[in-house]
Amino acid sequence: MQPIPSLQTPDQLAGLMLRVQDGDRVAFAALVRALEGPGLRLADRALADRAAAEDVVQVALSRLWTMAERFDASRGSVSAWFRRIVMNLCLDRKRAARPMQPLETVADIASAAPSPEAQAINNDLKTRLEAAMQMLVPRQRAALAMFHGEGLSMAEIAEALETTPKAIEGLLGRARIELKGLLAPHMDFEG
Amino acid sequence: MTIKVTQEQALALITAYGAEAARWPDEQRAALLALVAADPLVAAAHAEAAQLDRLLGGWAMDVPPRSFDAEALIPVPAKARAPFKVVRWLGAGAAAASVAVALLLGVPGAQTMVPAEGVQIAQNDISSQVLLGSASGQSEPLDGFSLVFTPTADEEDLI
Repeated sequence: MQPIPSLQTPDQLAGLMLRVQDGDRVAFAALVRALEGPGLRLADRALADRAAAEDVVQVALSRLWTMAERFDASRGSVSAWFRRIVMNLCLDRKRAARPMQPLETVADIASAAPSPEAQAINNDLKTRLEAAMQMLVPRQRAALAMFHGEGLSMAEIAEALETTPKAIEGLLGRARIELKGLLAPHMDFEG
Repeated sequence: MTIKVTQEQALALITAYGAEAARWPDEQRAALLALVAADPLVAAAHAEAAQLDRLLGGWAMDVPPRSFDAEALIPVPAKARAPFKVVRWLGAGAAAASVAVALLLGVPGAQTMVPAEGVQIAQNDISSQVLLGSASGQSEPLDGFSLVFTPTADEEDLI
């Protein structure tokens, strides 16, 4: 899947951030418009909890204003800085929580698919994928969301998760192996 | 620069990066593509990865959007809170001043307390001494001692 093109270029976002540092509310509104989508997708996928994700993004967006003076364009992009804020808030929130669904649930979910066969298989698989995702840790889900959804590189994901690109390779590899194992009985994997 | 890739490395790279060649590391892409074409095991892994990629791409983007109100995200500025602080300090100051005035004037009703008949009470209330002279009721000139300590009749005998 192609990553969604950003509404603002990194330079434009940095320009907006500089104006926010001067207390420009119009620039802040533009920054919110540009970052709320990617922020919500990341938080929603990492937390697997819509309400919690909205809370996290609200706090993260607010910090763009309250902590604006901490942003240093020479140290990275606004998007990267924002992703890091979102991820830290997500991980703070999830630190004590653990996945709730037992492994068997992934295989035992009844399909609520409508009659057309293709649609039925698709819906069924989607439901099973959601359940399988619950078995992963938030960092794995966040890495998958950033790589497959936002089209970020290993280096960009590593920056958001405060680790190395090599560690992200391992994180994504293990997540995909785990998912493949959970979904294998329901997917026509070859080999 | 192209780096040679083993079958094991190819499988690991495909597992981590998925099936899309554009996402693979630049220096390993050519060798990896060659292995996908030549090695059935790597080709199978590549096909599997493509299926998982499609699934994950849909999952990652399947999040309903929400528009946040930028104005509501901005906390009340410190300047707007300042008057409240000033009012609070003024209030505290007024309360402290009231207590100080009350102490200077004495506790209400204290002046009206009358000792039981025939009982002499030693006093060290300077203000009352200045006004009344001494507890004995004698109109002697005030001196330093009497201002500090006014003896009772029994104490007078001892002095």
